[in-house]
Amino acid sequence: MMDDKEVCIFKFRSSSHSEDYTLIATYQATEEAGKAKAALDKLLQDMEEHPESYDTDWSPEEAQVSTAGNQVTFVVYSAGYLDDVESVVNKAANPEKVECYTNYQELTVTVKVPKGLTPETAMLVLDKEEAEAIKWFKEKIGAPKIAEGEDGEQTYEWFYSGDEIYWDGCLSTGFEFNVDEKENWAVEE
Amino acid sequence: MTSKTDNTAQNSAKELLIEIARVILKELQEREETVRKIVTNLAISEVEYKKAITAEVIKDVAVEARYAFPPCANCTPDIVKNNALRALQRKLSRDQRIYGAT
Repeated sequence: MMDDKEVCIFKFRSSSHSEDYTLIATYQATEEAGKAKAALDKLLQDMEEHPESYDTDWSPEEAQVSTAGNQVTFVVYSAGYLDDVESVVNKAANPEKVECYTNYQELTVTVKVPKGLTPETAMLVLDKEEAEAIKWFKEKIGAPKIAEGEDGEQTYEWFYSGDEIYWDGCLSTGFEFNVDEKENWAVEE
Repeated sequence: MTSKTDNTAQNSAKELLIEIARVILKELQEREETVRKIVTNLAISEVEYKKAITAEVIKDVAVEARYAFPPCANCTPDIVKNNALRALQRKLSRDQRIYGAT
């Protein structure tokens, strides 16, 4: 029973704040990625022509759609209103996988360590936070690419792509690691 | 820790969403011709399409369903059902326009 109380219905936003969302759909073939791209272009056109049919916090001209080989990438600044986009990439063609990232980053992370050390032994020798960061990259990405350097050094290298983990000189790898303060560490965006 | 009332509301919301899914699937059966035309231009089967669009509708009304029962009862189950049917219509129209079915 409602009595004579005022009834208010709130529809909550997907998130309290907006971020750059990057949705990457990977297909078996380039042709399938092309079909998905064409369908996404149609979706954006339809959003322009029928804005009343969509519940989004972004306008079609703010979105970017691109293809590279068998991948389609969709980028937009939003609080997570991507249901229609996900619907299209999953239906227009059969994706092998669809990944969604916030503030997508591609980073090359390198760390110089004494020659001959394996990542496992380096984790015992280096600072605790360096060891934790190496452990994080090993778990997330796998074994590093190892390059022999001069002066008895070698370099571990990881290529990272995914949610934003690097800003203001710090890596967010389960804890805040001020990587810019470490001479043997480097991060390239 | 959730109270007994919260659990009852959650169960009622779950039952409502199951009922809505049945209504949506029935509605899609009645619009078989529209679905068939849309699916012609898709990479998925009719069955997969029906499942996908039902899941989209359920996602749209899941929060409302949660608040359609005491102690909140901000709306009624009938309102949620009607909103689900409106969402279905909106999504079918969208897909008809995008995938070229008329």
